[in-house]
Amino acid sequence: MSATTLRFQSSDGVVITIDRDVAQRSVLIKNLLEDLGDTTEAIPIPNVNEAVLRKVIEWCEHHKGDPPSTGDDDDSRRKTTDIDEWDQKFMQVDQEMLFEIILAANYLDIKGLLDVGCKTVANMIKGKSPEEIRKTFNIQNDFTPEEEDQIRRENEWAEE
Amino acid sequence: MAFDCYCAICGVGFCGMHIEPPSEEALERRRRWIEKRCRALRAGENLAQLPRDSEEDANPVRSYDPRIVAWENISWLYKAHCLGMNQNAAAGSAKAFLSDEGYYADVGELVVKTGSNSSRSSQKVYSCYGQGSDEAPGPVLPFHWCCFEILTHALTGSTDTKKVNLDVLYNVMSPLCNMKSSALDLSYGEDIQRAQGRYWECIPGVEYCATHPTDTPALPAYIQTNMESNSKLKIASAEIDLRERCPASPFGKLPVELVHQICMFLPGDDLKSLAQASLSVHLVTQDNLFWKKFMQWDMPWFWELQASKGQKLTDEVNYKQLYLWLDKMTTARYGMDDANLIGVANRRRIWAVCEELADRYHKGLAQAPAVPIACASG
Repeated sequence: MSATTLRFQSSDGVVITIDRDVAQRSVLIKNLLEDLGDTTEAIPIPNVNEAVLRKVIEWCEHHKGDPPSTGDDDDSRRKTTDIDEWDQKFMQVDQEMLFEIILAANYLDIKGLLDVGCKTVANMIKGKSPEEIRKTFNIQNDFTPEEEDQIRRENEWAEE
Repeated sequence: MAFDCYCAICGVGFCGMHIEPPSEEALERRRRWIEKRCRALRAGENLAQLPRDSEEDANPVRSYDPRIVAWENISWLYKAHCLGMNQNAAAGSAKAFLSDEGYYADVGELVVKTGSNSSRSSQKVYSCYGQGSDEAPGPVLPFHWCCFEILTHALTGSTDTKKVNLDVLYNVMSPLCNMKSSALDLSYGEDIQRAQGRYWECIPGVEYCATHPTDTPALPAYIQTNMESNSKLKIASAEIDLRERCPASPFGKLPVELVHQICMFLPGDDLKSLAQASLSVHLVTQDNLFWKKFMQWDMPWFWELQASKGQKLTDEVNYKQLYLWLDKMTTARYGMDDANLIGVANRRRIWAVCEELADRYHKGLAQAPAVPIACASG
């Protein structure tokens, strides 16, 4: 019989105990466990620090009952950036944390969380001018005025 | 209270279409009429408030251009179906139904012939958008069949209309009925809203809305020809010399595939803004593979493109230019007259309405009790 809990060690050395079914929201962990079999050792997650890991676990716990993703993108709804209420609240974090969550979701292969993260960023971009986007994400303007002008022109279909 | 009512999905009427008999004089009057309005649009004026001169008052153009539409290709507008709710259905079974083909019989009533096999054919009358009566139950939501096919595609990603949960669809559509009980409160487009008077008005320059949105057989060849011979589609984007710069932004810290994934959730205009804001995003969104994929995501209504998914990239074509070109050419606009593109432009317009409905439908679906969909035909 497999253990019902697993232990993980974050990049900053903190060991966290999680229910097995929660941890298996991560395809990386799921595959790892299939290869590894049972283990009582703490599994190192070298790319994710404690704060981010706890956040990711919180998401997985809330979504542990979700049907497993089919992997394929649903053709009909692929462009929608609707996010359910709980996920919206969950994503109300500072920007650094938001990008860290996206990176962690990508590394741990948690498709649902990665989608929510990318949609959250997309929603922060939508409807904004380039200048407003720079402000929102604290992007410094690396373009020369000539390049800016050139890109603006290239972005429109010019009819004679 | 309007006298005519309109398709719940595309907003266009089921009757009262006029096509002008061709004559030199009429075509010239039409040309002047449309030109004046195109000028007004460019100047940012509202067409609904544009004053008419005396000649226009004496001789208004209220018909479609015979060079753009013909009776044989607008006959689809006259064939109406509806989505209704059978209140007497047994509890637990699907109550909503789709009617067979019928026609719009004025004052908000839709007539569907039933029992055509028997010698005495009978008919069923439905009340569009209104409460109705025992003789003419309602409210039902009328539509053209091809509009329903587009909606099905937007809701389910397939062409199989049986996959639509009609109960849920009826429940999200019927509360959207407009004040005049003539259509739904959805963004059919300014031109269409102007045409939705007490009777359908055939506004010259708005022929695109009467053009069949899915029967567009010439389109693939038209795109193909342009990809081969339109030299503007082959102009390479200018490369940016990075020199000493190392662009700093949160997007620069993400792997390219994650930046791409975020981009796929953006409408075209927002993607352009993002690439103009961030050099790191600009740099990773320059290749053909990216634009081909983006095009597929951004233009789900462009079935001809979806069909070419597996095709190899054509090296000579700049896919960003191709996207910009297609995006511009398939946007429905007043005065549009290119026979190759007005059909797909109409489809794109209808798709946008369907997406408004799709958001509500999927929310409704998530809350709905499971209903055996197989029962939902009638």
